[in-house]
Amino acid sequence: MSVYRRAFLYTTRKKGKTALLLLILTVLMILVFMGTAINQTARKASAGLREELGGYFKIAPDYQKMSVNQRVDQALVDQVMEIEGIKSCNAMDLQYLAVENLTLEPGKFTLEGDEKGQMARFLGNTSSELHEYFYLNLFTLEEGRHLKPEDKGKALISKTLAQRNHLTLGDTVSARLMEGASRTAGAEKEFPFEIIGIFDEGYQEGISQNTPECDMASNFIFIDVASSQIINEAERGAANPSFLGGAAFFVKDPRELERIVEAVEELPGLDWQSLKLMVNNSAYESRMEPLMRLEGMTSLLVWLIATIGVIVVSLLLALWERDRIHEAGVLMSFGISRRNILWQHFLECTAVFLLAFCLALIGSIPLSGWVGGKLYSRMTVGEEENAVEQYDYLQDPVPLNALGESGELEVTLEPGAAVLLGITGTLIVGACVSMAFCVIGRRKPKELLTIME
Amino acid sequence: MGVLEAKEVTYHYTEGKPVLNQVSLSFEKGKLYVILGPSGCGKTTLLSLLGGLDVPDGGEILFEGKELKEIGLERYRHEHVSFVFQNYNLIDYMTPEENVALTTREDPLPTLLSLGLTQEEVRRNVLKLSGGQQQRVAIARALASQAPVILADEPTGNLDEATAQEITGILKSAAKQYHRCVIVVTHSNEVAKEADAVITLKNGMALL
Repeated sequence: MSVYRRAFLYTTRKKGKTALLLLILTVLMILVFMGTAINQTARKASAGLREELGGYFKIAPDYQKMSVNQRVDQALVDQVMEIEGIKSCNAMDLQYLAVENLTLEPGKFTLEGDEKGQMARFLGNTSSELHEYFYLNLFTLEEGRHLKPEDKGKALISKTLAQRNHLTLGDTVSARLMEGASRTAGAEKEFPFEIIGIFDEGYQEGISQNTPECDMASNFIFIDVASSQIINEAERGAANPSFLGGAAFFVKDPRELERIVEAVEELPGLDWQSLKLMVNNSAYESRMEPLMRLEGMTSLLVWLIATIGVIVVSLLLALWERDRIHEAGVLMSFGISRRNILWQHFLECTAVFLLAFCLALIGSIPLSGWVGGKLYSRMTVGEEENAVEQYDYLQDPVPLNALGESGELEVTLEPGAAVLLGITGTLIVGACVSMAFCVIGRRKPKELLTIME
Repeated sequence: MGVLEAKEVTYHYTEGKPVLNQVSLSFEKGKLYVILGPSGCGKTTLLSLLGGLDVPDGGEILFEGKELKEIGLERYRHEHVSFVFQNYNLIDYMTPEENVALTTREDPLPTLLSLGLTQEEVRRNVLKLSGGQQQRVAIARALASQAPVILADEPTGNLDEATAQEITGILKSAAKQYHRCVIVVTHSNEVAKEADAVITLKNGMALL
């Protein structure tokens, strides 16, 4: 009779033992799968976040200082961009312009009848998609496209503003300098912008009737930086226009942020008395922290389960192996080798393990998602509020729900990891069987027959 | 020259007096041998040595003139010798048919049926058979292996008188009909009466 048939007969006839071993292995494997799936998802999510929420830093004039001798201009931007590890940059400008032909979301000044009720905030950007509002998904572009460095006379408006004024892509909005604003002689008064994108500003928390119109996200208008520079020039006649909002620099890997910031601080010709450098890794860190904790916890859990599993299975098999001394002695008396008997025991346990593996794989898929979600949501409680507190809005009033939702953790187990767990599990089972087999393997056939008697 | 020979075999369990002392015996095919002796005289030990389950401290065991070590103990047990034990030693998760199939690639059914088991009994779990039926299965397993030597350790020890007689008859016919060398260790004088040769072990010595 072949070893495979013997193994099959044992597994199918010793139903109680097989069922118990199957139950133990299935529970262990479900826990291992869940732990691994959550761990793997957390790791993947961390990597994704590094890409998505990559850290960035801003260099902006420090307006709190008495005198600002240096501003952020194109030369400074170019100098910083030469540092290795920076992938992109967004230079930002800021103006408050009157938009008489537009009906803004009403706020404080409209109620007071002040002409500032017609004043909107114009945010100049080299690449609007890199503006924090879009970069951190606070605002979402719904229609059209983002502003690019080569654009001129283009604008993005909010969905609310577009609906209120029946504006669509391709329409034009006009702005002019506020009455009383200093103006360069002969400069343009009117600035037309073609609408190339409409964004959803999301739910605005903390907005009340006392909020000035220009501080309402619905009344924000993103414009290209070239137009912004023209407005600046018209307003102030600056020969070497600078970026009032400074410039944000985005690093390839947030873990590199510290090194890059140090390199920026050491750049020659930068007056840190006039400029301030603000590192903003908080979004990344606040989102990373629960993931890192989840990753650490599940790693520990997997190791713990694996260790307990090895101990439990080893003890159980050792106990059962004692019951099989009789059988081994008989088989050896017919000339069946120890190796053949060990192989039979290994086949039996491996067959049960593989069945447990399949059951656990099926069972752990829904369980992992549920448990992962619960764990993640428990770990993110308080993190978001904390993150909002830490967040440096750099003078821009950002809604309180700025960081948005932490997002659901979609737990999945990579097929490669499942295969690896299967192989590892089989090896562990093999090791447990081998250890348990020592009670048989080290004895002579005569001893085995005597022991059982 | 016998099919199986023990030449000056010595075996100690501990330091001191050997349980077997320079035992020399020769066994032939077609004969039923009975080894008698008081408890602890080394009967089962001698059987283990003859069956290659253990190795002697001194002397040698020869099968068809070749030392067992030379043949290889596993191979020897697999091809040349077969056991019948007092407590049957059947594999409890197998049917009689499957137990017999452990030692042969041939259909085990004819052997089992020839020993008086029914079609229904051979497919039952072995533990659901009576002692006599279980011993029949054990003998069928030994016969089916085609091994020329059958070693039986107290094969009737757990059986009633009538069944013991039947089993003795089967073992004797195994020697005569199947031309095997059957060596039986027993306390039973009834079994000894059926033997072609009786060997008595006393003080580590074999007396023919």
